Amino acid sequence: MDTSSMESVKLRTGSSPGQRPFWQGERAIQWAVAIVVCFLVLAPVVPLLVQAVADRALYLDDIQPTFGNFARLMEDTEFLRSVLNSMIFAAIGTTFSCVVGAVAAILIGRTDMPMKGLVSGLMIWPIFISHLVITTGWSIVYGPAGYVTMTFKLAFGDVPWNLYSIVGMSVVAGVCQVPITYLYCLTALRSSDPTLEDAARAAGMRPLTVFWRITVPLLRPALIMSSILNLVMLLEAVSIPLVFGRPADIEMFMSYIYTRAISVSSPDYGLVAAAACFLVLLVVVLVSSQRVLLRKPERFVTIAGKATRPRTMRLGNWRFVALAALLLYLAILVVLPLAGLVTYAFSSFLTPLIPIREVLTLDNFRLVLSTPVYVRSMTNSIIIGVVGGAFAVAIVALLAVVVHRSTFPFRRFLDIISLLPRAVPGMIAGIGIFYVTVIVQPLGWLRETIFLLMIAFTMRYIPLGYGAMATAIIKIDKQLDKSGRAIGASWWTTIRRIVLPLMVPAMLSSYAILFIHFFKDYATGVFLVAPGSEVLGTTLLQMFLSGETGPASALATIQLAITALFILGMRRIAGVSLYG
Amino acid sequence: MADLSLKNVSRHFGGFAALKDLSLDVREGEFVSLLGPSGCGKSTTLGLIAGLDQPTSGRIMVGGRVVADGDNGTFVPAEDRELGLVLQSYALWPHMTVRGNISLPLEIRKVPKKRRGELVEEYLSLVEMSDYVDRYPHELSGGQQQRIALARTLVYEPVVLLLDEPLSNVDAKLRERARTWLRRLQRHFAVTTIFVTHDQSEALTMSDRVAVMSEGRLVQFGTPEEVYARPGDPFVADFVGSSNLIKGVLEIAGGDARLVVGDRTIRVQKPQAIDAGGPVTMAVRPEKIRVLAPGDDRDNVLDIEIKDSDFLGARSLYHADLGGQAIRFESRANDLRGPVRVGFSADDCFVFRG
Ligand SMILES: Nc1ncnc2c1ncn2[C@@H]1O[C@H](COP(=O)(O)OP(=O)(O)O)[C@@H](O)[C@H]1O
Ligand SMILES: [Mg+2]
Repeated sequence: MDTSSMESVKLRTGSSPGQRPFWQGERAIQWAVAIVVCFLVLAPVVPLLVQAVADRALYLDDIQPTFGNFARLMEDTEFLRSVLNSMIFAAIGTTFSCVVGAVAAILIGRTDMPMKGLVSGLMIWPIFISHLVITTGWSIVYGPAGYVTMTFKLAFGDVPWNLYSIVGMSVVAGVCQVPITYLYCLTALRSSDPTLEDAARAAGMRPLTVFWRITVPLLRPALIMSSILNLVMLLEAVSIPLVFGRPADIEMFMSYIYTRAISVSSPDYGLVAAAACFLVLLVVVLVSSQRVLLRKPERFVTIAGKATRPRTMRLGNWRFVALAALLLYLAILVVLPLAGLVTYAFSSFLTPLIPIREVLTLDNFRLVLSTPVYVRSMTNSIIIGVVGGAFAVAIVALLAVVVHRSTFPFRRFLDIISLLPRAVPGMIAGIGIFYVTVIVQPLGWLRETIFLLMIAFTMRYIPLGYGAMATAIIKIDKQLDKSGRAIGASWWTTIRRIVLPLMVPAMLSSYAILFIHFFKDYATGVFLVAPGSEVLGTTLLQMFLSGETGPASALATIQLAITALFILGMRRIAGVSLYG
Repeated sequence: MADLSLKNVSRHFGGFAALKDLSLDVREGEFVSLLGPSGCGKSTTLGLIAGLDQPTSGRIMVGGRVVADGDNGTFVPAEDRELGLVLQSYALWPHMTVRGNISLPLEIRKVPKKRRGELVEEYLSLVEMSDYVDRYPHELSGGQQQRIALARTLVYEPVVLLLDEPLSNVDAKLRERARTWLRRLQRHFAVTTIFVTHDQSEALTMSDRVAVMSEGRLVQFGTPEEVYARPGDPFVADFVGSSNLIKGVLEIAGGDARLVVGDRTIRVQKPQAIDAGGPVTMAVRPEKIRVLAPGDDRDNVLDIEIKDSDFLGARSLYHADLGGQAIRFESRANDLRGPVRVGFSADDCFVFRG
């Protein structure tokens, strides 16, 4: 080494890198991130807990602590029945998505079925579309007065299905959740070592035995995780209980809360909060049971030797049967309902009795585009998606950095607490956030603005965005930032110059995912929207519930089109491919 | 036990030919290594023998039975071939204990439960792993996993044992012991074994015969001694025992053959069926080149200048220059430098066309 050149570096910089002033500290940044995240995560929950044990609405004076709310809840047979209904509904729906999702993942991930790309793309579709839209599509096509139902009735006299039953609703819900199971299983299959199956074949097992004894057991963690997620999401489901359950007089958890909090003139806040707490507790139990069930993850993953290409299982002519079955499933349960919705948007009245070309019209779109509330909902949603999405990505990226790449003393705590919003259903989180703006006076101005919705959505989807970030940051070799520190860069410089740039691809895909969720969310905003701050999802919910199906379908069609354009754009321009 | 035969086997992946016209005959009870650099098609060959993959053309026979024929579409799937396959990653099923792993092949062969228990015990003691019966794979070291993988395979008495780089995940120190152990086990069962490796010393020490592969072709098949002493082409000479490869022109005068490299000539073994005057490559092993004491003589004596040296412990490897081409030689003396006089015999110099 040439000592004179080392000296000259010192002369030029004037100081050696070790002697940085202390206050340029990393801790300040880390604390700031921690406080923002804690606020976002706790804001919706804490006021709710307080309300649950308060004897009157939180914005009133002279509040006394009480357990009366819980007592009343437990005596309410309607509540107990709705809990039971919800549980049956969630269980059937989850089972359905488990079976369909896992079978599709195995067919696509491990066999020589043709047209895998197309089928895989279609399988994932429903994840980009809100349950509300899918549900409505179903009711337009398969509901009692639905197009297919009527056609069927005209031909055969009766139909063998009834959407307005627990099983009917569960199947619709299951279809909505299939992509979750499918993605979890596909990822597990892709990362599991295919030689495990080779070894089993060589040891004398027939393909079906290999499937039951090796492939399926190895999928267990993916199945458990996705099932718990599905159970939670179905317990929190809003659209199906409201669209199908209410007319059929089958009350479920969220419709119970919705009825008592929204559609009455003097809401019983104590009871609603107590019910919400009950659900949050149930979800927390479910989510923590996952930790117990997945105690020993090593039993399911293996370090593969050298990279091996999975061998595809030869299905022979069965591969066409498999393809036909999946395509039929997709056509009947996914594509047709959406096609029905879009057709409805373009017609005045949809029934097999009148040929479609006689009812085709653009009236619904004209109405939507000339009504200020609808247009405003659309622009608000786009702004919230674009701006709020970016805001949320920034927060989860910094959170990932603090949790995984710092010496911040409370980083473990942050890691765990950031999952909390997953346990709080969107609509209930909305109630909590509403309380915050009421109780914390200086935040009152937020109430009629879309900022409130941005904050609410960010909070709601922190676990989603953070999950993607955490997976990405764990894959970045720690030696990269260690060597950054070794050349004398501070923590923040290392993060800014080395870690964050490497996370850009993950940030882009997180952004895309968050945008889509912000854009389609219809539950979180229910309590938060005010004249001027309407969002697409909530407006659609109101429209569908009040029977304006035509214009609502048109608005939903516009929403679908914008989502599709966005996904295409991200893929083309930024090269982001969502969900593999 | 069975013999094994591959006849003109090819395997194409799209336009890429991973295996080209491979023919190989393995005798009953023989231990044959497939030796070659990474990507030369060893695992592909093994997969074809195992029945995990189908040849594009050619025929594979196990114990006289055709198990795959690319030309008429005959194909016996893996589970019906009764072969044993141990993979590089060992592929122990992570959700089952050691016991579960070993008894599953027996279970699907409908061996009664009691007998299964006995067999598990027996084979575990054979691989010296009796104490680990209730462990999960992730609780075992690489070497232990390898033993369990073998027990799991041997327990159903396969007719041919296929091993894909089974020692590459074992610690370097234990590897030599594992070789001896594995070879003893193979002799004990007298099971026909195909052993895939990219490590020439593994292949040379363990095998009855070695099949050297390169870019999807079989380039030489013979006993370890033959492959080492009489390499069939420059690739084998270099891959097995890393020879010096020197390019030059062949001259034949009377009974003697000589290689002309620039202004030097080297006496070489007289090649068969190579005409004089053409470009050739000569191979000579570094350990055959000796530093000469004053007065020593050899067929070839060269004065060269040492440029660099690698200390190898008992010996050193020296790098020098021969007419613009690199040449290496070994010596017990590890402090040589500058100009030296080295010599080697013509019998150690093999000449190949090209
Ligand atoms: N399924 C496959 N598709 C395409 N190419 C493959 C496939 N399997 C192997 N190959 C190619 O065939 C060649 C030989 O591979 P392999 O038999 O695994 O080599 P090795 O000798 O290292 O075991 C490699 O170039 C590899 O990339
Ligand atoms: Mg290999």
